[in-house]
Amino acid sequence: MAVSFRAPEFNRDLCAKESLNFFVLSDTDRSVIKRYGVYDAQNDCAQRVTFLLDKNGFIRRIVRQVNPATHGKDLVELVRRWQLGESIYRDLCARCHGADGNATDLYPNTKPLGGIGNRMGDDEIVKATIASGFVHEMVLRKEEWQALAVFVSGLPLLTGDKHDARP
Amino acid sequence: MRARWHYGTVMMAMLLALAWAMGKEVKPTGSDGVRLGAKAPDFALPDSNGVVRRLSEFQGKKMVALVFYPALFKAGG
Repeated sequence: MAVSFRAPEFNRDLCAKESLNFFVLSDTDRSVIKRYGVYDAQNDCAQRVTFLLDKNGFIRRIVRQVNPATHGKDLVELVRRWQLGESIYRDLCARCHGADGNATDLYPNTKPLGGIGNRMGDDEIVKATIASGFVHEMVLRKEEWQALAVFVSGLPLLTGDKHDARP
Repeated sequence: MRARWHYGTVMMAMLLALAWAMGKEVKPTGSDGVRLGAKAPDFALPDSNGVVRRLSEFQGKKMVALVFYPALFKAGG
């Protein structure tokens, strides 16, 4: 889904012109744009930012460096990497860290990983969590490490007391 | 001379404190709870045919890309 301040009529023409196969939404009062923290006050419009949500509606990735010329292709590539990361996580990490990154009953002392990408970039996540974990670096190729970081960066935050627990 | 040295030390300490504070600062990831790992706030907005779409109606199916853009979808806007 794409959101801008433009009116539906403008977007209808845009959809026809660009053959867009998704919903182009109008946020004419900028309320959703502001709610998501992507309001450009100087130009009174939205910034070019993409949020990738999982099927349960959790924010799993925020892309702030969007190249308008290639963003369709880039988005497909991001989803592909995220899914690769998901399968690696499931195979190597979930047993101890839990399916959602917030520990399992078997290993309750595992530090929660939820929302880790808010404090660390991908490279730091690789260094601080993956490389210091039980997965030896020889197991994965560089591309797989990066995909794993993409997936881990947006693991869902816990609600309640353990919310946003720091590593 | 001695006073100058102290002044320099104090300045250095302040700069270090500033650098530390900036390093500690959480990266801006949106207003009020809009950040990685959080539930995306629901909303309802009209699509290009004027049909109101809710974010929540897409949940439980597939991943959703929420693409904010300035004015034009492609380059230049």
